[in-house]
Amino acid sequence: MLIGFGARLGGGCTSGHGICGMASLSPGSLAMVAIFLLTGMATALVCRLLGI
Amino acid sequence: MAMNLLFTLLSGLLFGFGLAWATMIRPESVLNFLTFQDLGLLLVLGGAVGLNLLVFQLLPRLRARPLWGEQFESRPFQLDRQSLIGGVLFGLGWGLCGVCPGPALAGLATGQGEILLALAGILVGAGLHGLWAGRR
Repeated sequence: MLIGFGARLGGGCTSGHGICGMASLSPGSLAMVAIFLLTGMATALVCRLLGI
Repeated sequence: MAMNLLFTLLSGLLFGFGLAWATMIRPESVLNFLTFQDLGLLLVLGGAVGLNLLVFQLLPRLRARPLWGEQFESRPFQLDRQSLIGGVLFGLGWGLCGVCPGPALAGLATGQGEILLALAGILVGAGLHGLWAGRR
């Protein structure tokens, strides 16, 4: 649910911002990729640490 | 028109095959990437961006119009506070389950319950956003 809501609110996902946006050299997309990569890594690392 | 549809179908086929081949449709492989245990997906992302970078930057200069379309258009996107929040929410969900929209759709073909559930969640989340945005 977070992914669906976030992708619409954020105007794109890994494919949209990550591939198409970055390849169009769109500064907004670059920032978005940095944000969801960092948040994703932090979340996944925390989950691993908690053993989920 | 029929040509258009055919090439849309072929592009989707190639994208889905690529995602599966690159193991991106496996949540474990995405989570291993996000936790720095296996950075292979960085190559996938890098390869996709690198190739598209060439195509997106060069093709509009070499050709006046796309092969099967009216004109080249740029992707409209405005970075603002809302989209930043969207990015954070997306990252949270992605880090929790290792699934994102493209691979979730492609992963439907594997019939894994985990992916079906994640995709259902994505649809519900996107629908909720529609309801929420429609009321504002």
